[in-house]
Amino acid sequence: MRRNLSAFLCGALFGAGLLLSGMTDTTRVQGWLDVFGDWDATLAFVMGGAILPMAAAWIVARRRRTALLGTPLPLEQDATVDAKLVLGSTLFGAGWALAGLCPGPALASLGYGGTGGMLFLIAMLAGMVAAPAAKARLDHMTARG
Amino acid sequence: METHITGSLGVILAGGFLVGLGTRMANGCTSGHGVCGISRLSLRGIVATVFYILAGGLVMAGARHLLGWI
Repeated sequence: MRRNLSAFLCGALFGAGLLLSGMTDTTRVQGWLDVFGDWDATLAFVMGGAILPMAAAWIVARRRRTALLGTPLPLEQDATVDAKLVLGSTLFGAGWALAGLCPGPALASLGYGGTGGMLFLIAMLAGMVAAPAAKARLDHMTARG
Repeated sequence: METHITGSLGVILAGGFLVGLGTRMANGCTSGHGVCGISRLSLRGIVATVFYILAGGLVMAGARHLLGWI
């Protein structure tokens, strides 16, 4: 019960942050990515502003093995930079620019996005379902050289 | 509440599919790699963020200024 309540409150806080910061406004997001046009730099401060408290949280987390409510913390860092990371991030960036939504705001858009938001979410889930096959294919291709 | 999601069905579906495929393939998005990764100086998080912002900027330039899709 406490874990569910905590998850609910964290989700609500995250969603409120996305709304307040403008991450759910697709025009703002697309304006931020429009470096070669009418560039809106303000969302860089959202990312910077989120990284600072998160960095403080990692300092606290480093001294613990589990989160306050018992979930194990992922303290081991994986430094593998491979084709999946690079290609996946490139595809994600392309989609992010096209529609102006990343996964968090896309979920939040269930509350405000109307039909367009819902269609985006369905297409996003389809992409997630297709990902394991694409990853396996990429692994196969890179293994052969 | 203002959201401004495009009305173009093809752009919405292509964007959504790419976001889903790419984030699962790379194991992270703006929150996972960008905020959580960079804040602990993770190499994967930094590389991912460089590539999705670069790709986003280039696709935005092409789709908006060359093709007029958005």
